[in-house]
Amino acid sequence: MSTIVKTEAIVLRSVNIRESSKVVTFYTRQFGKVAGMVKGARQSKSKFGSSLEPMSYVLLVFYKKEGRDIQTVSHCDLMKPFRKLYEDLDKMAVGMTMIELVNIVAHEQEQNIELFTLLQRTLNTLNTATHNPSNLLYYFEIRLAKVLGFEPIFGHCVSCRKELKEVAEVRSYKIHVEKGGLICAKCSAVYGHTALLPAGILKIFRQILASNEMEAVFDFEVDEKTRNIMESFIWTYLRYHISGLRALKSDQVFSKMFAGLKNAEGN
Amino acid sequence: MLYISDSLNQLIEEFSQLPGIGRKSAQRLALYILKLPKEEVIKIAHALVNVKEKMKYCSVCWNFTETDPCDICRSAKREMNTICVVEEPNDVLAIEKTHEYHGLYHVLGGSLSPLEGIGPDDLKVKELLTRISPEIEEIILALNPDIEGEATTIYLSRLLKPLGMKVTRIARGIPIGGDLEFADEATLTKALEGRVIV
Ligand SMILES: [Zn+2]
Ligand SMILES: [Zn+2]
Repeated sequence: MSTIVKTEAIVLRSVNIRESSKVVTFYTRQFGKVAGMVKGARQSKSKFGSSLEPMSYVLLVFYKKEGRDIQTVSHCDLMKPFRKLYEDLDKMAVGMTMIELVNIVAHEQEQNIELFTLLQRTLNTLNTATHNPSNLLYYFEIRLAKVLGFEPIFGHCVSCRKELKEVAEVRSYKIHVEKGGLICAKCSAVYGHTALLPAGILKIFRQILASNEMEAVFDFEVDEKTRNIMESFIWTYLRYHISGLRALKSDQVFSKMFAGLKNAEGN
Repeated sequence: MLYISDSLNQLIEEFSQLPGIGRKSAQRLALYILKLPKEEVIKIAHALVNVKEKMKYCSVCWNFTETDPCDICRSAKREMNTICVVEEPNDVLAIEKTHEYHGLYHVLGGSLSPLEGIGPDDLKVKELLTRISPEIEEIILALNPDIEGEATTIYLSRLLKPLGMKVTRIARGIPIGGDLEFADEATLTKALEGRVIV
């Protein structure tokens, strides 16, 4: 027996199969990750339009059958178009990285409304961003760690729980990635530390965790060097806490594309 | 369960891998082959092997061809100052059917698909850049209207524009998510005519 169900969803991946069909992976609000077969999706007169493109925010109707790997999609309509994500290469790169990450960390048919909301809200904000769109990726990744249950601890020592305030003359803070956050001088003498975080970056991370106003991240002006440190810290952290997290394909492809463009446009 | 011999089963299996062929059609095709006179079957087998042995990629435009360069690249009737960039050989066929386009082609062999790990080095992008000369006046980007086609269009236009020629894209007559090869000739003609500068 199958039941017909309706849920909001974000399209994570869309693969062409056979003559004109697609298998589409959705991250749904109600059922977590769901793969759905869409027949005739690529025909010119298809009723699905752009609703099956990666990053689309849709209202999905499908026949849900227990024990099936691939469900049958009945309807899929755009809730709100995120047009800028398809017109601006920088935004596209950030959005694609986010959906690829979710596709890796999310489990089939396992509801996580917080994760859905995070993804939906970040894509929406990315669409309307006017400057520094790539900053949003840091927000997303730090918050992703939080909704998956391993929020980094930036307020106190992960070992003795002593509160660690920002001190003006301290330029960098010790991090113990395995233990999940900041480690004080005394404890790091025992357990060591795995990373050093510059004070400016710690400040950004603390703000990201403290506030739901994601637009605030666009105001952080970070140079290339700081950007690299942030990316490598977040990535090390996520890789340690998410088993099986591999390097992202979209990240590699966009790096190549941006390198090629830098060369051609000479900046 | 109906008994089906191994050889017949294998043929059905092979046919069902073909695009647009389901299990039932594959069975019908296999039984049809079985009933044909042997000479006919050998003719079909020859045609299959022949196409594989004789067809190669044109070293200029990367379309399928028997002669290299291909008929279009060598033709004196084509306008040599325009190159239309497409994803697959199928798209060349679709555009040729409109009889509205008289320039040259460049087949990329796909589109940029970040989620699948397909980047510029996996497509004939470098080969396109080497074709650019002062004689080339316009590059028409005719890629599928999906996110991969969009990524490819933006990337190529930014790569080509500094080289000085006019870069255009076909109009969005084809709905997003649709495939160029499924578009009818009228829609495709309109999309070509209504191309815009990027
Ligand atoms: Zn401590
Ligand atoms: Zn050729």
